[in-house]
This record gives sequence, structure tokens and C-alpha cells, in this order.
Amino acid sequence: MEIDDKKINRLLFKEIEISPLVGFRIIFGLTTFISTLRFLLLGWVDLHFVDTKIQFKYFGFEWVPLMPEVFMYALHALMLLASFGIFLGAYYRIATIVFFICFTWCELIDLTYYLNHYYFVSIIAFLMMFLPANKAYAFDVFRNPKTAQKKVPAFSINILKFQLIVVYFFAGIAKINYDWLIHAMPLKIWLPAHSDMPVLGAFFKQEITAYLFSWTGMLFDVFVGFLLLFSSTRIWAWFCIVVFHCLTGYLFQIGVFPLVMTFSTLIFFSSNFHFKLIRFFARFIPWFRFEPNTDATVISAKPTLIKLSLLIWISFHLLFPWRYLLYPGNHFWTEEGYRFGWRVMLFEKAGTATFYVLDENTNKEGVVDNTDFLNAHQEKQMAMQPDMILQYAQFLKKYYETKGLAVSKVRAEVYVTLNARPSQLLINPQENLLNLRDSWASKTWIKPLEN
Amino acid sequence: MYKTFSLIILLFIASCQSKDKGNENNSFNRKAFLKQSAENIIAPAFYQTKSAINDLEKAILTFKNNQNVTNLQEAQKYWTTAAFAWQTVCMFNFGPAGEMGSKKSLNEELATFPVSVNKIENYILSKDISLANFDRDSRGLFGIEYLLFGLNQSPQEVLQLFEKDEWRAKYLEACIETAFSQIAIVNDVWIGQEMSSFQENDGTDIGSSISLYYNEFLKSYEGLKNFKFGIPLGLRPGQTNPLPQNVEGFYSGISLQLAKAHWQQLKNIWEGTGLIGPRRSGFKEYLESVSGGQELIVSTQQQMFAIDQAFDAIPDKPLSKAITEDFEKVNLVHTEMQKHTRFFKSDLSSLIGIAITYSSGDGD
Repeated sequence: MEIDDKKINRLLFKEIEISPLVGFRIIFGLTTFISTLRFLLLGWVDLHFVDTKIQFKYFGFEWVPLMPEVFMYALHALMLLASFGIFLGAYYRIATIVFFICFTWCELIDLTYYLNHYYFVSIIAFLMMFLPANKAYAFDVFRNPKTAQKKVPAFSINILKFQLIVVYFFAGIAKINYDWLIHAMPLKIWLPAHSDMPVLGAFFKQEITAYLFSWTGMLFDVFVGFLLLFSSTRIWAWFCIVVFHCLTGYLFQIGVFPLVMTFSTLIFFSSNFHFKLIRFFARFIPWFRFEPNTDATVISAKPTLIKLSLLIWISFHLLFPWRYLLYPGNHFWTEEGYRFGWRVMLFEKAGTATFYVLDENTNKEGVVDNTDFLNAHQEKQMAMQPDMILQYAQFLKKYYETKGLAVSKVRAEVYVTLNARPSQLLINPQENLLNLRDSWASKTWIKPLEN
Repeated sequence: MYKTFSLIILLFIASCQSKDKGNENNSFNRKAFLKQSAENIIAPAFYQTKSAINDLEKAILTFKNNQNVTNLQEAQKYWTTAAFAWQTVCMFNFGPAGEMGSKKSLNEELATFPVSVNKIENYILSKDISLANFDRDSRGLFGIEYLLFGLNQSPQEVLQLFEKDEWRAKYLEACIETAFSQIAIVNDVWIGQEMSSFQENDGTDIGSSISLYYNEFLKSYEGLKNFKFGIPLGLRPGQTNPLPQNVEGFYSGISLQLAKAHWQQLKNIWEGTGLIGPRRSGFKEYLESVSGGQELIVSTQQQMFAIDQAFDAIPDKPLSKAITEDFEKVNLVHTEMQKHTRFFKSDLSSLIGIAITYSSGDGD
């Protein structure tokens, strides 16, 4: 393979101003601080981690434990502290490591709360552990001026840009599907549901608006990441980002992520812009004013090691989202290879799942009331996702065995509606779910989507 | 560049439009829906229930002051009316009827069943009529029912119990007074501020009126299925035998009629039929305005009819008796309701885009 070494070296190792990286550090620290605080204030620690009877596990991460209430609150307090440390550039390496571990831990406890953007935050936090974002305008530099540097190798900023482009690009590619473009689904459902919105609400009742939003949404996601790369289109691209995220943030219940994305994408802006941004924060944070006189650029790792790591990292992020292609059938329906692929707000899907537990002692089959075990969110997610249905069946077996039953069979009647289609069976209602195991292999027990 | 850009988009849209002619009109007026639901369905039902419970209170006071069989039977009659009225409001368990602090929802405070006969008798024995405890299964409409009707006892036998212990009537009085004040407060708030705030909160997010209204509607449906049929039939995993005494209205023996009334009101809400007013605006009309709505209306109506038929096939006797004597017929109601669940649950909420949980969605 012929690779233009010079070009690659420039992309990775050219010495560039540190300010965009510091600006990103400030934004990342601040947004994660806000989102952690919000999570605490909304009482979600209780909702997600305390008042639950069952946790759905991530495949391969079944070992991640849920801890007692006090510990879960402590974890969030630590996260708050760590994100503030990242913001200040104080004890940065420890702060990023602590944040990454705490955040990812909480994220991996219950699969029903999976969000692409939690994954995004984990990825960024992981990268931040290795990036020299505390080498200027940071408490760490104030503490130890010898570590200061004005320039950083280009990869430390470009890798973040890459990550952002990946998010938008894959989100856009995913929108190129029949339902989205030809039927304007699910926006045809979602927009009229928000016709109470001032001014724009009246347009949401019009079917053409759903088409307009579907197509522009797709084009926006596919192209915006690239348009941010060029100085001539950058400001317009970012303007679109602001409008887009304001709108989705208003319309949909998607939490702080419009905020995270809107500000994260500022990393594409010039070092001069970030310098001004830093100066703004320096009004309140005295350590950000400290400017050492140095020209040193320190790269602690060997270039080949960096190159190799980046190659692995980038290949993974370019290939992993495509794995759904390896599975047969409609991946919106089966959700095989669906997660960790930046497929966001793509369909309107809901299910009703009724579980039946067979007791060998009496040979009697009982009907489960899901609300005995699941909160509304967990039930909603479980009722349409095959891997969670299996986990729930196993949970029911264990639970009822502690109640003295000899459970030999758990089956489920699961009806799912996808993008306003009449609901249909997701799995064979006679299938004994206890005989099935989740794996990377295709779930042949899922019924194909009809129509 | 931008001009060609937007032109391309518009052309695409135009071409799609001509190919995919949707016949649905997105003209549903959510504000009108809320207004009609509040004015014709919810508020009149609360008013009717409040009046019925008020009448019951008067009858109980008359009986307390002048204990004889006639007055007892009069009170029993008014209890029956109140219990039927209750079936028309039990699904509006939000807003002023919702949980607030230590106060549970109106459904739990006023209408917990099955009641605990032991607890009731113990409170009477210990002359404790404060009702200052969390034993909601020792009072409410169905606690009153037990006191008025007794356990398979004739009016004469029930009367003797009251004559034996004056605290029985005092306890009964405390129960009805509390019940009346609970329903009265909710009714007053509905007539007052809730009437307008319910109509103004016209979004579809969690906490919006339609989301509250829908979620409690669904919960009520599940409650009818699970608690008025499932558990008495013994259908839960691990339940080895039916529990006929767990039906709602066990002591008065009108359990079947109460369940039918509950089901009727749920159908009314879906169809938009109120106690007053000619105009119909229910979930059905809402569905008419959305993609896939027509198909869902047809499936819903077919299955509703199947449930109706299953109800009608149960012989006219208390559900508790029917469960022992005609198990399969009662079970059929549960089976048909189970089949129907998706039409009220995931299909309906998905098509009209109502939020059912607070948690963040996977958004971009």
C-alpha cells in the first residue's frame, strides 16, 4: 500500500497551537460537569441505580457491578469533581482517568439506558487521558511551569475532529433508508406530535415538513463534519449545527447532548478563536492567565507507537459501525449490530411483551406483570429488543425459582410496531427463551419483518 | 451553491410527494381534544362520583343515627351507585388525583381492594377510628362495602354487628367522611384550576396532559386486566389457586357489573364518549389523523368486540362465583384483554407519538 508519508506526518506530528485542544478541554469539562449535575438533580441516580430490581447487562460486560446507593452517589460526586478537574486542567491525568472509569462504569450498568452519546463521551474521555490538554492555560501548568508547552502534535487535535466527523457521518449514512427518505418516517409521527411549538408548530402539521426535515437532516449529517474542515464553510456549517441541535433539542427528549455536540464541534475553529475563548474563561479562572515562556513540544511516546495506536483506533471506528451488514434482515427490526454505530433517532418503535413462566411442579403457566420488576423505561426498551428479552427471561427464571417454582420454560408474546406499521410478532411466542443464549451470531429466532 | 442545494432538496421532496400520496390529514386538534375530554368526560364523571359519594355519606349518617334494616339497605343501595360512579373516574389518576408527597393517588387512597377484614375488625375492636395509618386496605369505598354488606351476611345479621359494637358505625362514619373529602377535593380542583391547566398543557412530552391522560388510561386498563381478573383467576406465576375473594366488589356481589362498567368507561375514553356533550374526540379520532391510524382503529375495534363478547358470555353472577363455577368463561375475558393490550399500549402511543418515560432518548 502506497501511503504519502509526508502528508501523514503532517496530519499527525506537525506542531500546532495548543489552544483548540485547551478550548476543547474546557468545553468537555464544563459540559460533562453540567450533565452530571443534571443527572443528580433530576434524581436519576435513584431512578437508574437504586429503585431498580433488575439491570440489563451489556454483552461482554456482565461483570460490571451495580453498587449500593451510597457508592453510586459517591461515583457521581467523583465524576463531578473529575469533570471540574478537567475543566480547570487540575490534576488532569488523574481527573480524566477517574472520569473515564466512573462514567463508563455507570454507563455499563444497565443496557436499557444505552445512548450513542454516552458511548461518545466515554470515547472522548478515553482519548483525553492521553492528550496533552493540560499543558497550557491550566492549573497543572501553574503548579509546575516546567510542563508548559505552547504547541502540540497535530494528531492530538485531529483525532478529536475525526471522532466528531465519524458521529455525524455515520448518523447521516444511517438515515439513507427507505422509511426515512421515501416515507419521511418517523418524522411524520414526531413532527405533528409537536404542533404545539410556537411559530414552527403550524408547519409540523404539514406532511411536506416531515419530508423537508428528513432530507435536510440526512444531508446535514452526512456533510456537516466535512464542511467544518474548511475555513470557507466552517462558520456556516457551525451555524447549521446550532440550528439543528436547537431544533432537535427542543423537539425530542434527548437531554444534554445537543449542547455537548454544539460546543464540541468548536474544536474545528481556529487557534485564534480558542485563544479568545480561553481568555474569556481567564476572567474568572486566574490560572488560565498564566502564560509560560517556552517553545518546547514534548511527545512522550514514540511516533511509531502513536502511529500504530491511531491506526488501530481509527480502523476500529471506521469499521465497527458497519458490522450490521454482516447480519441478515432489517437491522432496525432485529437491532443486530445496531448499537455503537451512531444510529440515532432513526425509527419510532414500541413493543408489548407478555411473558409466560411455566412451573414444572404444577405444570401451570403464569402470566407475568412486567411492572412488578421493571420501570417504565426498562419495560419500553426491553419490549422491542431481542437481547434484552432473553435477559429478562433468565431473570424471571431466577426470580421465580427463589419463590419455589421449578421453571422449565419462559416464553414471550412480543408484538412490535416499527414506524407506524401494524404491530407484528418479533419472536415465536412458543420458543423457550431459556434455551437461547445471546452471542455475536445472528439471532435466527427473530421473526423477519413483514411488509 | 446554496441555491442549487436547496433546489435539489425541493425537487426530491416534490417527487416523493407525488409518488407517496398519504391520505391521512394531520389536522388533529389536540387542544380541542383536551377541552372535550376535560369538559365532557373527566369533569362530569368526577362531579357524578362526588355527588354519589355525598349521597352515600348522607345515607350512612341516617343509618348511623337510626340503625334499622331499611336504612342499612338504603345505604347499600347508595354504595352501589357510588361504586358504579367510581368506575367512571378510576382512570383519571393524575393531576389532583395523582400522588403528591405522602399522599398516594386517589385510586389507592379511595379504592384499594381487596380490603383486609382482619385489619378493619382490629381497628374497630381497638376503637381506633383515626384512619391515621398506611393501611389503605382497611378503609375506602371497599372498606365501606365490607362494613355495609358483611361476609355473606343478611342485612339483619349485618345490623346485629352494628348493634353489638357502637364503634363499628363510628368507624364506618370515619371512612365515608374521609372518602368524601378526598373525592370532593379532587372534584373542586378539576372544576377550578385543573380545567384550564389541563387544556393549556397541550404538548405530547412526558408531563403533558395527553401523556398523563394516556398513561393513566393504560394503567387502568392493565389494572382491570391484572387485578380484577388476573390475580382472582390465579394467573400469576406461582399462584396455584384462584383467589375469587380478591375481586373488586366481593362483599356486595356486583363484581361482574363493576368490571363491565370499568371496561365500558375505558371504551368510552378511547372513542371519546362523555357523560355530556355530543361531540366525540377520543384517541380514536386522534388515530384517524395519523399514519397507520386507520388500520389500528380497525384492529382495536375488532378486539374490543371480542372482549365485549367474552364479558357477555359470563353468566350473571358475582365474578367470585363465576371464577369457581365458570372458570374458562372468566378466563376468556382475561385472554382477550391480553390480546388487546398492544392496541392500547405500544401501538397507540407509538402512532401518536406520546412520551411515556422521563429518560432521555437516543438523540442527535
